[in-house]
Amino acid sequence: MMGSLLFIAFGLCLLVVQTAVMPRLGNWSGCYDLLVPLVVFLGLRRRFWDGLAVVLALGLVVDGLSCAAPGYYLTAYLWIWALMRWLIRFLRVANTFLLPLVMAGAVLIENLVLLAVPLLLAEQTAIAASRALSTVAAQMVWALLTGPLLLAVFGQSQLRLRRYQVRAAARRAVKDE
Amino acid sequence: MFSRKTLLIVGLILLLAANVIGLTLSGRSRDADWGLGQVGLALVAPFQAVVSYSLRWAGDVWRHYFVLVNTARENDHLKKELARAWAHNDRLTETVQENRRLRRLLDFQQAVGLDVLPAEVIGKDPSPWFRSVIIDKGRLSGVRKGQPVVTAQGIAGQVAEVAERYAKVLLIIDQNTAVDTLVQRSRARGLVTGTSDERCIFKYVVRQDDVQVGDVLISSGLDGVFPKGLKVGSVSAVEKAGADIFQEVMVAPSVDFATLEEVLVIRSPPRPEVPEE
Repeated sequence: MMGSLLFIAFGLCLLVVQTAVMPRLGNWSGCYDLLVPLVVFLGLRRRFWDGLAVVLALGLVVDGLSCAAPGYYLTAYLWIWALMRWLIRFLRVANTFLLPLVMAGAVLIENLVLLAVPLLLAEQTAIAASRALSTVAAQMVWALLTGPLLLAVFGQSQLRLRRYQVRAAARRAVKDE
Repeated sequence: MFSRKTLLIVGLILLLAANVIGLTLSGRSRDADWGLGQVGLALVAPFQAVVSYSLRWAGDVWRHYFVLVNTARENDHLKKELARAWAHNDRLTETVQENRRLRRLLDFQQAVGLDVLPAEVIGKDPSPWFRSVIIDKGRLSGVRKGQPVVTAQGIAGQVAEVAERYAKVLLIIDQNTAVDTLVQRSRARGLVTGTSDERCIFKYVVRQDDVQVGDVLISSGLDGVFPKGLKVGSVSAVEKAGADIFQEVMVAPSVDFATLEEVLVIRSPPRPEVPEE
């Protein structure tokens, strides 16, 4: 429960940075959605229900903020999360070399959902292929380079939280005795 | 023959006399080169020099140390003062710019004579594929879905969703918006919609209509959303391809969406005008 709250708080902080801080610091249109690394992390390192709850909560929040049709971000995040759950069955995706690729793949999936679904549903006209390609490519490069760092930060936070919980439990046990 | 006391007194007198004579002689020949003085000088002066220079150096170091410490302190202090002054200056510059922007908005508000509500942009769409912003006014301030949002430069967008204190504004550069528009000069009519690359396109303008690069586009008021006469943008390119009945007109929006900070929500939307037959 505490872990889920921590990651929801992380997600909200990242969202504020992405939507309110970064636009004031210049043009970051090539940067990827900062919540994608969090969703990847939740898929790889958190328990099923914990991860799912956080992904659902963050997906709904982002859908509320964006002018995309409701459910797009939720769909994208759920697909990424589900894919991560599936991948950890037979791949050591936490591997240092695989992690950047996994991150880039996750960013690609999100963009596919956000670009392809509106087209399939005929909700909007096609985005110019050249612009779509350049934007997605830039996002994937950013994800390759910085995604694993964010994952490391999440990992460290989870580790510290666990240590804190263990210490707190030990203190309670001593007190009870 | 003489007592010992007498000898001592005579000796003393002689020594005193010899001393007086010697001093008198040396006083008279002060400029003569004796040689002994040079030897003494050669022997002692180097040590004197070393000690003297060392002491002076130590004194200088000591004095400079204190001077440097004081200077370093003063430097730190001045740097802090400078940083504070810069920060203050930045704040003042920001205030001046904000004042200028707000003054323009106020002038615009008085010029259009509509019930408008100033709002501040507090966030942007998390996705690069959708062009929307979040403003700090919502239902409690009288904002309703569909209301037009403008700036002093022209039309910015339309309220897409409203919460209690915040609202989402879909910008005219998004592909999902459309503004009924007129060419100010020739009155040619069409729809301005967003494209995927932060520009707009003027659609459904028939081939025969007179549209030229640089023409100013204004809202027609016929869509029932935007009041008539607000600037939308200017024509940046015109292309008449093949046998197409419409011409392709690219539009540079009049609002700079990259630096959008304050907007006006028009709370009393105009009644749609009936086109003249």
